[in-house]
Amino acid sequence: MHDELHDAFLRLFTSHEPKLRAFVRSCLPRRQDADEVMQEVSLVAWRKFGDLDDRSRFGPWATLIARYEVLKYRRTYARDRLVLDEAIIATLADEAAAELSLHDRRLAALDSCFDKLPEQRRQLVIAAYTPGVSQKNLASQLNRSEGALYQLLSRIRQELWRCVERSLASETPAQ
Amino acid sequence: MTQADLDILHAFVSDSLSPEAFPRLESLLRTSPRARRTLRGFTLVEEGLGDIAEERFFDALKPEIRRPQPVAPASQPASRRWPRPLSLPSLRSIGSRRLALTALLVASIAIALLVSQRLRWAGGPAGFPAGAVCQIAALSNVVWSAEVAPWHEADGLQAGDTLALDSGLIELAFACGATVVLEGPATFAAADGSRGVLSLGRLAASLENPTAPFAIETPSALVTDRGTQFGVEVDAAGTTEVRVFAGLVDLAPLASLGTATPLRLAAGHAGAVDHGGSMSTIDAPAPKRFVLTVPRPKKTSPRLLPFRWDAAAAETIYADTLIGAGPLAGSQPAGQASGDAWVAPGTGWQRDPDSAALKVTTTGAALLPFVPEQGRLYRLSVTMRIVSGGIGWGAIGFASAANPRLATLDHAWMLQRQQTTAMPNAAYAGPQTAGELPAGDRLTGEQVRTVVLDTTGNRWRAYFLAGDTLVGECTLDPPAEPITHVAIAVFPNTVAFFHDFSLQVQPAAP
Repeated sequence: MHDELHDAFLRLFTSHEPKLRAFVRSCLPRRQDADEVMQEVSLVAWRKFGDLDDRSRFGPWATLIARYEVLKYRRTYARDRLVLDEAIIATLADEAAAELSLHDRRLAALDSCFDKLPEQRRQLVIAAYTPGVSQKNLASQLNRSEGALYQLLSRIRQELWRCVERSLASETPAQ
Repeated sequence: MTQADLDILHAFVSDSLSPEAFPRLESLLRTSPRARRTLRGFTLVEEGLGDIAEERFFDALKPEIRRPQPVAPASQPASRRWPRPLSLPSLRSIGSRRLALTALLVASIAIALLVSQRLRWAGGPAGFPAGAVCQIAALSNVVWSAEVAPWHEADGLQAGDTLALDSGLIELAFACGATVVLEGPATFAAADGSRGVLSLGRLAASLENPTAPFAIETPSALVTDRGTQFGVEVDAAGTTEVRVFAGLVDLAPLASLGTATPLRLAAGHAGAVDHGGSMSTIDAPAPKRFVLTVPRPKKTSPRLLPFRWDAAAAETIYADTLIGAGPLAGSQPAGQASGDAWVAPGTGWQRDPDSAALKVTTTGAALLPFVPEQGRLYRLSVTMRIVSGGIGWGAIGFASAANPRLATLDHAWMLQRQQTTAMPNAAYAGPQTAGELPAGDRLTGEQVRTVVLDTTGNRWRAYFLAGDTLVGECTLDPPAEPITHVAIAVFPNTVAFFHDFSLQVQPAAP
């Protein structure tokens, strides 16, 4: 019984993890903050999973837990980190929850936009985001300063987001 | 937004924002929906590029190593599953990448195992309270010792919490899977998720499918269970007697732990350690009856509520019909002397003379200050009608912050949705579901919603009612933030009407 519960939880959590993570990062944009909260979300969700009567509601249920954990995290670290005001985080959480249904479309648009980048920039992005590769090392191998590499990646990211927005705006609304 | 503003948002996402720029960031996010949307966009790009890079990195290493396939939800866009291969940049050799990948995979497997183990350990029985090492599974005819506050069924005990009973039975479920039935008179403390301390009295322990050894410590001995059933009795002199009903148990004098060889007792055998540490086996022990399971009471009628509310004895803290005209914000509930006024959004929360109710059309909360005291029973109620909003909701409950822009009720609260399929009457303890009516009994339309907060025990409890029907109940874990307000909340895109709000209190029932 316990194993069945555990397996069911892992299946559901794995399938919802990308959206949950997107939600958490929308409230706490820094990666390390999101990592810590996601760890707590997975543990709290597992602890409470036995109480979830309708597993088809796992997504909204887990999002509610994530929202709670985000606010808890913010309160815990408000004094010693650059953490956004609670009202801002809560507004971000509300808006992120309302936009979760767009997540998959945005990711698909990002894939498409990424493919439109010049080959050299695609390779640069892959190198920069490959696990274990630091920007400092990458800049050194490219014979660029770290600041120059940061600026270049910053422009690429902003360009990609503008492309995603344009893509979604040009989509025909679903009937 | 200017390019400088975009750079600030980007710097925050990439964790390179200077403390000097932080106030500007907060100002932007507070005032500009577009800035918030852009911030979400940048996080999406940041997260998405990480995924893209990882996928294409693994693809480039084919056929040597295939990326472990995640469970792909049906709704996932096809382009996210397995993108086209792309040649890697020639910045590093494939050899060094293989090393990095191997390390990554080893670390990932280790982390996955660790997380899996931690998840299993953190679990315990369904509904196990956060932070608790064991939970009261059942009580029967318990008379508590005078010097301790009473405990309730489903209360979680944290390390160090003590039970002292003059008579009756208590069944405890430990995080490791052990069950302990304590018979009064007895004094017992929870030490951790796999260990308890019996100072006086008797208990029976069962451990099926153990995830860890379970141990009982007494003033004279340590009894270690290895997947079995046994009884322990401690008398006033500190002598410990152990009887094994099934499996094996190790018995060791507490005074010589680590030096003396434990006495291993098999089923049908018994042993003892006296207060001086002398250990002995008991031949042909006289029969003693240990209770292995606390009998559960028959299911109560839904109308038989688990608390006693005496309306005649109740005192009113707040009472507001919510009838009238004009904004709720700043208005005072009638008949209360403190002068406290509603904190509520300035727009979209109006006393509506046409409907003789508070009409709410925007997300947020209306709050009144309230700090509960130990040893009381509080009854918070409002009549609620949700006229649109689908899965959006109106709610009533207890909160730890007074931000009217947020529909945040982070303690005991219950909601009502317009739609009737997905948890339309749900109750919550923070984010945890605390109850919902069965599908056939779900209530729609205008109903009185009530949350009763019981602060008379060691663990505070809450009960949730829709009309006269008990929707659920829960134990409130010690909160990170104390209750500071009672509130009505609405979230989002919902139109709701509320009237006859009240908060009452009465001393604990005798």
